[in-house]
Parts: sequence; structure tokens; C-alpha cells
Amino acid sequence: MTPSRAIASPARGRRRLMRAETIAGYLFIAPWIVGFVFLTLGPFVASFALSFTKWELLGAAEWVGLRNYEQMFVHDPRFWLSLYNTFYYVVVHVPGTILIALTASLLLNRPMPGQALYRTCFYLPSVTSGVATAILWIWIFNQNYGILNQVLRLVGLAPVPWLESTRWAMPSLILMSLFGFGPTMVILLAGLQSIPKHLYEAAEVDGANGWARFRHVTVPMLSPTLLFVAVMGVIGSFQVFTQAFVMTGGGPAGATLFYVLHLYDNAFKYVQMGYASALAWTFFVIVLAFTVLQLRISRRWVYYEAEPPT
Amino acid sequence: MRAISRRELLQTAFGFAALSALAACGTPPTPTAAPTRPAEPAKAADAPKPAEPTRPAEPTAAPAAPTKPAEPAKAAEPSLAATPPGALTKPAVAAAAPPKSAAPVTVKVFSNWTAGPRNEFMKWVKTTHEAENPNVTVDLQFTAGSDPFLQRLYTEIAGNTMEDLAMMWGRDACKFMDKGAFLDLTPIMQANKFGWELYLKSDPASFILNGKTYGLPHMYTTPLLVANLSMFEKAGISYPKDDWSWNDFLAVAQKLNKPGEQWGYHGPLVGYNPSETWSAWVWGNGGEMINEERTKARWDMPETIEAVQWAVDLRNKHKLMPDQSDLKAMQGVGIDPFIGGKVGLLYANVGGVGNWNTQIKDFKWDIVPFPLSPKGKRVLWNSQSGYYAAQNTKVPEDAFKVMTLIVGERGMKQVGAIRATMPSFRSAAYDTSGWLKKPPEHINLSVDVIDSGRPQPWSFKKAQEWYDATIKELDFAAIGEKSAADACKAATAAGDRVLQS
Repeated sequence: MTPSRAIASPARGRRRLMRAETIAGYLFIAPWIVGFVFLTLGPFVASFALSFTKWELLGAAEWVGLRNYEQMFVHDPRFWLSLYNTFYYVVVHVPGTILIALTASLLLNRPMPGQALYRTCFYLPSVTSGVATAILWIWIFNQNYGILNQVLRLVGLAPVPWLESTRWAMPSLILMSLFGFGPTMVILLAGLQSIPKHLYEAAEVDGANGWARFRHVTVPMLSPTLLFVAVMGVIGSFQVFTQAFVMTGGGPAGATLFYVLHLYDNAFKYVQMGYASALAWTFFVIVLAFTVLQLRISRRWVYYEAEPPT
Repeated sequence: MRAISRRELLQTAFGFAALSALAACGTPPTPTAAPTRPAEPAKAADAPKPAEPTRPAEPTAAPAAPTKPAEPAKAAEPSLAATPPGALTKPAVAAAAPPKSAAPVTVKVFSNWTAGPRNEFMKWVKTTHEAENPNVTVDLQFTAGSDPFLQRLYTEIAGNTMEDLAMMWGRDACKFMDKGAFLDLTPIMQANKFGWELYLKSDPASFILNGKTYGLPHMYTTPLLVANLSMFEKAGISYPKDDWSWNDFLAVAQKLNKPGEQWGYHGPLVGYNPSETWSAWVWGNGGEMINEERTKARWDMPETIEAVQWAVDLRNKHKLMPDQSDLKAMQGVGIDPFIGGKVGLLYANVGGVGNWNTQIKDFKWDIVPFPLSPKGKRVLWNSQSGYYAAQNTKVPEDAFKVMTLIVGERGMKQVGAIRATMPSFRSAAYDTSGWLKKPPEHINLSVDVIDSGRPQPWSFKKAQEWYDATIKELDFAAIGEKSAADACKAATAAGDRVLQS
């Protein structure tokens, strides 16, 4: 055996071993990859192609170019209505949820008796069945006997037709959704608890009062968590569907017709799969744009502890 | 024993996975493509002569009229306690059984009759057919609820895996008739001497396209006006005459109305199928909702606007109806305001009869004639669901035999007797020991209105989209935020946009 062979042989063996391990690794993740390709990526790509076709489930899809998009932007007033309704919901619901969740998490971050009970209570609406919650809220919003209007009457105000007027239907759904702040609260609470105590102590030593500690310690240290809940909240809120589907069916008079409900109608009621795919892709672009925008803006206000001082 | 290496293990596993995937791509084992027996002459009960379906009649002044149970009627189903003697009888075993050597056949049937007497009826179909055809297995497939049922059915149609038979509403079936989803039943109907004339007048557009028949009627729905007679008696009101008018109706409803205690009238209004909501008023008043060609909305006709205004006034001006929030709240916990004795007059449909018969214990109720419009007319809608066979069924004749058991005279008489729904088969609908058996006293009104009725304009491709666009605008009138004239004008524009897109 020559010296060069003696050196090359272990190297080849290592390469072979690495190759074998690579193959084994791929085989182990193959079920997930196959599932992802066929059940997620495949339909994802197919829906993009379908968005340029007229396809009514059966038979060949007919290529229509950009006509679905033209129909959407130019000829479909329900598209604009649903987009407006969805924006309305997102713009009010996301900040509202974060504000309530932050308040609750700040309260629950203090040592107090019954803390665990409060946490459970606040989280409970989030784990209750959506349909059951909707039915409960239908009673709460009842114009004649609902508890909300009873309270309004007690303070001398006129009852509100919560789900029966185009003016109040959307605020009603948002109000109901705000009670699902539990998951956001838990995430923020975890964020609060990870803020080092010595920062507060240092601020206190510097004479910072409660507001100053909140503003200059809590908010910056919590900002990555706030960004996370904001991004996830916006994405989730854009996809709002169940409340309107169960409680209002998009009414009255289209006042709660959300984008996903409109998409659902086109896909499963009108069987216009091509148009529904175009709606889905437009929606994807809108949500993506908002997410990118949020991430861009976040550079101005999110503080990462590990980042080098500027 | 030799130790297996990791490489060998992975190769073997991969091999098994590949083979499994290949196996999964194969043809499903059922139904078998067994050759079916030659069609037997149909039994007298199930085998009418071939005939063309009748066209819907033009609106005319009709005799007494009934109507449809709005949302409540859909909720529950009549209990078997009400099953008349003889209903859902056990099958007589196999007089016409085929030779035991016949190849086994499976007929899959898809339905959303998942509960109560309706489900019992489906089981009866299976038991009866299997007893009479020992080589046939009837495989009942169910999905509860309207939307999940349709989603599964649509997916199956798209994947070419629809069951051999499926029930559908005409409005849904018409989306697929021209796409080759369903088997053309015309030849097999002719061979079996099974015709249309034994059915109640049905909407051809729900079943027939270009002269080919793709389905047979199953459930027949007409609207009903139902009265709480105990409430009538208490208020000193007698049973309405056949020629009572809209104004008489209003006066009665006002008399029965007691704010905070009971409502004088309840019917579909907000966010509901506009055809069912408005047509009884609009057609009766000489108006239209859409033209015959389904190319132009007609909400802008003065007669239509007048009728819509009259109907919304019942809620917004006269305050005779429950609020939408009251209804939703009650429905959410399974309370039906009519069954609960809180409504004097209910605009509903025949689907509710079974419920009312079995669930109303505390007061007397009956069907009353629908009032005549100021034009002296009464024109009520009707609609039908049907059974359709899959284009690619391997067992067309066996599937057809099961279909004719379900929608033929025997099946339909069972359906009528247990009040699962009003039968579409004429002799079953007029069966005095079945569907027409009292109570209620005036159950005949459910069928008396058929010949003067009109099919709902829903069996055209864009019907659902047109409905939704229209509902959105008419809701403004229904909740009192716009006048009927303004809402109808907007509904016309929105409807036209859909029809012309």
C-alpha cells in the first residue's frame, strides 16, 4: 500500500459515510417532504395556475388569462366590499387585542392571590368552541333581552341593534373577537417574564417611575414579542371567517362579508374554482405585503437585546 | 441470523413504501364491475310510462295556498313515534330474488338524511333492496348538514368518485349536468317504462338538459302558511276563508301580536333565499324577480317593489315579526318560536309538517290558505331535490333500481307516511293514508297549490351568485335601512351584474 492510498482511503470512507448519512437523513424526512410537496406545495402551485383559468370543478380548465383578476378588480363589487370589511376588522381588532392582552399580561405579571385562576379565566374563551362562543354572543347581542342592551338601558342609553344593522354588525363581531385575547396574553406574559429584573432595578435606582420603567424598559424589551403577536395577529385577522359564517352569514346587507367568506362562497357555493384561486392569490399578496411592511417598519421600533449598539 | 444493516433496512422500507404507493394508485375494489342482470319489468307501483316532464304553469289565481317553514323547519325532524301503522314496513323477502349465483354488486348511495325518520327511511331502503336482491349490497354513505354534504359531493364529482347515487337539490345539480357528471337516465327509464307523468309537476331545469334526463325528483317543497289555532280561538278569530286577502292577513296578525309576549307573524326575511322570501308576495302581486331567460333581474317592476314594501312593513312598520337577533338566539339553543307557541302565523314549508305533528303538544295548529294579493292572485313557489346517478357508475341498472325504490311509489309512500318530507311521486303525495293523512286538518293545502305554483328560479348556473348579490341589497329594505324602491333598484343592478358577467 502506497502512502497516498493510505491517506485517500479513510477520506473516501468518510465521504461514503457522509453520503450514506445524508441519504438516511433524507429518507427519514421523506414522509414530511412527500406530504408537503403533494398536499401543500402542489395545491399551492396548482391554485396559481388555476387562477388564470375558468374551472367549474368538472371538465377541463379553460385558460382565461388575466380575466379573473380583471373581474375581481373591475366587475366584482363584493370583492371590494369584502376587502374593506376585512381591513376594518384587522385595523380595529389587532391593536385592540394587543392592547387588552398587554394590559392583562401586565396585571398578571404581578404577584397576586388567584393569579392562576385569572390566567385560566382570561384564556378560557380561546379554548372554547367557536360555534358555542358564537351562540353565547348571539344572546349577549340580543336586541331585546341581551345583557349588553340591558346595561345600556340601565345607564339610560337606547338599545343597539348589534347584529341587525349595517352600522353595528362589524363592531359587534370585533367586540366578540376581542375576548379571544388569551393566546396573545400568554405570549406577552412569557415575554414579560423573560425581561431581566436587574433592568428594572437599575431604572429604579436611576429614579424612573412606573410609567418610565414601562416605557423605557418593558416596551423595548418586549418589542420583539410585540412584533411577533402583531404579525401573527394581522395574518390571523385577515383570515377571519368563523364568526361571520356562524353568526351573520356575511350580513346584514354584506356588512360582515369578509374576504375569506367571499372566497369560500365563490369556491364552494358558486363552484368558480378559477376565480376563487385568483381571490386566494390576491389575498396572499395582500397579507404578504402587510407582513413585509410590518417587518420593515419594525426596524424602527423593535429592539433586539443581542444586536450591537448603533 | 444475519444482522440487517441500516442500508438494507432503509432499502427494504423504501421498497415497501413504493409498493404501497403503487397499490394505493390502483382501482378501488368496489363497486365491482359485475355485469348487471337484464332489467326486469318494473313493478306496477314503480314503473310509469315514459313521458316528457310538464312545464311549470304560469302564475294564475290559485285555490287555497300553503307555504314553507323557514329556518326552524330545517332543524329537527319528526320522531318515529309519529310513524303511522304500516310505515317503514319490513320488506317482504325476495319474491323476485335473482338466482343466488348472480355476481355480487354494491350500490353506493350518498345522502344527508342522517337522523330521525329520514335516516330510518334510508335504512329501510337498504334492508328492503337487499332482501329483494340478495346479490346487491346497498352501501349508504352519509354526511350531515347542507354545506359539508355539498363540499364532499363537489369534491367527489371533481375527483370522478361520486357514489353511484346521490341526492342533490336542483340548483346544485344544474351546475354539473352539462359537465357529464351524471348518467343520462333516459334510455334506462325507457327500458324500464319509468316516466315523468307520475311525478308532481317539477322543474325540468333541475333534472333535464337537452332532452336528457339526469335525475328524478325526490323531496317536493311548497310553502305553507301555518296558524296557531289556539291563539286564534283565544283572540276570537276564526279559521281564514280561502279568499282572505293580504289586508285580512295583516289584520289577523296584528290582532294576534302582543309585544313582549307573542308575535303575530313570522317568516323568512333577512339574509334568506330571496326566492323563498319574496316570491309568494311578488308573484302574487303580479311582479317578477328575474326574467324567463335568466338574463335580467326584475326587482325594479312596480308590482315587485310594492310587494317587497308590503312584506318588509310586516316587520319594520307593523312590528309583527321577531327580530333577527331573537330568532338567532332561539335557534342557537334549539328553540322554535312557532313550536314554542309564540307565533300566530308562520310562513314556512312542507318540510316542517312532521316536526309540528310530533312536537306541538300544547296548542292546536293547522295549515291555512295563503292570502290573496290585492290583484286577487295567489302564486306559490315549489322546488325539488332529486336523486342523480354518477356518470361512471359501474352498475347503472342496479343503481337505477335502488333509485326507483327511493323515489318510486313504494319509497315515496313511506316518506310521506312518516312525514320525512312531502313526496314528489304524485300518488304518494295524494295518498290519504300517507302524506294526506290528518292531522293537520288542512294538509291537502300542501298539494292543492302545486298546479298553480311555479318553480323557484334557482336551477340556472349563476343562481346562487345572483341570490347572494340580491340578498345583500334587499337586506337593506328588510332591516329598514332603505326603502323597498331603493333596495329593489340596487338589487336589480347587482343581480344584472351577475347575470351579465
